[in-house]
Amino acid sequence: MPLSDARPQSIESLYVSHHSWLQGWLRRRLGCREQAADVAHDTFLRLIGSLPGDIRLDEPRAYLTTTARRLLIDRARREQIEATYLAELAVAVQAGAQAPSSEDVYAAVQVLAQLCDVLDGLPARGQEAFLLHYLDGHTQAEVAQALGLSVRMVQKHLAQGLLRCQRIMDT
Amino acid sequence: MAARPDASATLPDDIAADAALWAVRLDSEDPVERASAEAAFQVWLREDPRHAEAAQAMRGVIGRLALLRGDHEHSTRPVRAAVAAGLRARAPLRRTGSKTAGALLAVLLLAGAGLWAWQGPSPRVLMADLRTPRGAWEPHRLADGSTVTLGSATALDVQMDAQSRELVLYAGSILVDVAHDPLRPFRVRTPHGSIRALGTRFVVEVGPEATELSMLSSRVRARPLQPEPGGGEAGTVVSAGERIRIGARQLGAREPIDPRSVTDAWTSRLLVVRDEPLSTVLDRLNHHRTVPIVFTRDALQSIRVAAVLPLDDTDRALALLAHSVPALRVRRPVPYLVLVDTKASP
Repeated sequence: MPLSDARPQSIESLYVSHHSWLQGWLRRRLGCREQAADVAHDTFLRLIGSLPGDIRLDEPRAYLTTTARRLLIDRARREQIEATYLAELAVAVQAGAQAPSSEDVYAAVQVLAQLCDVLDGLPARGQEAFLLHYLDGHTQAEVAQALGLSVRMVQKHLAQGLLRCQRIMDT
Repeated sequence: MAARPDASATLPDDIAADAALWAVRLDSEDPVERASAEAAFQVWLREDPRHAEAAQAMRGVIGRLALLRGDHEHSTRPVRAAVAAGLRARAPLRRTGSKTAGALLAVLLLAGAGLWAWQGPSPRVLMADLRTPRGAWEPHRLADGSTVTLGSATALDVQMDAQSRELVLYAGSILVDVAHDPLRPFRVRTPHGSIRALGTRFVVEVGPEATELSMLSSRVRARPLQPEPGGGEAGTVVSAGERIRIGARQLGAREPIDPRSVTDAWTSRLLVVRDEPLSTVLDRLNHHRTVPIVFTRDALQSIRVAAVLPLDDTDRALALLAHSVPALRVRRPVPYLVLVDTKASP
């Protein structure tokens, strides 16, 4: 964290000095004024959230772009999830599956984004164990065999995943 | 995104972790293990009133997960694919353990359904210096005075220093107007090759297997990424009025084009199709859409079309195509996709 002996600044003065610059930076990366405005706003919200009290930043713009980059990755990930989900759904619908409603698709994408958050905090084997059991429906023994793990280890991974689900997913 | 406050959220970590492990043990398919787990679980429940609450919360979590599975054979593929894509997007520099064979199959499946562009953007695209969303057109002026207009779903990096000027185009298409600078060569790199600008105006479009270069003014030197030895390492000169495909290993044949109509097409956002397979035309339309057109490539490849189509109103473009190809059927079963096939199809 770039604490320093820079002068303390209020959020308001940081906003005035850097908001429009940040929006320009984001607009080039996103190619869309509206999206850039959203992300710029969220970046400042993060700033408020993570730096209570006196804000002292040696390089406010570097700090802002670092935060904005993280938000861009989150946003891009959501786009990625939605695009892939829709594309696969389209293939399934073309093959004769019932097309879910737009509302169902929207809800599914929200859950999937949260599931990705859950999985992101698990090791690769844990991710696979979780998906094999809770998504594909394989038994714990089958998962253990597929991954070359003991059932005990599989259970540990599954439990770790469940715990993250509880913390991350909506009630 | 904020979850409603939930009593279980305030349970200490160790109780929640225990409850998770109990839920998993009780879920074992081995009846012996399950029976012994059940007995020990009851003992655990009696130890503390909060344990029951924690167990209940875990049952809720497992219930929610069951919903993800859905109730038909087509359910898990989209979820798996979306999750894999989401995990890749979060870690642009980290190699995840995802199976390459599975990923490749997914790509082929999507390509067969006309959806290769919907794999989702690669990490390079996500972090590019300049990007446009689908359906956009965006002009930019570069530091050296060159202008680059980005077409739909385009992503590029700009690398300029005292010695050289370079654009790295990862996806999409650009119309470049190179500012004169005799001291610094101007280069455009794509996944398939590179273009060294000797002259001023051209269009570069990255496709799934090749890059298409359309020369509007003066000349460039184009070379593939991995040219055949003794072949095109130095690059081939392409002049105004010529279009050429740059593949990773070799250049395609030159086609004549009319620079003025290419320029007009960019400014007026029109796609002029003289004689092309319908599947290719739908691919191009898809590039500018947020709601995908889904079709079977094989079925539509043999239908050839000529048309002038608006790229900033691709629904109208579809209507125009349906009008000129009577056998074509366009259906919108849900708002998020469009199905195109022939009336004869099942």
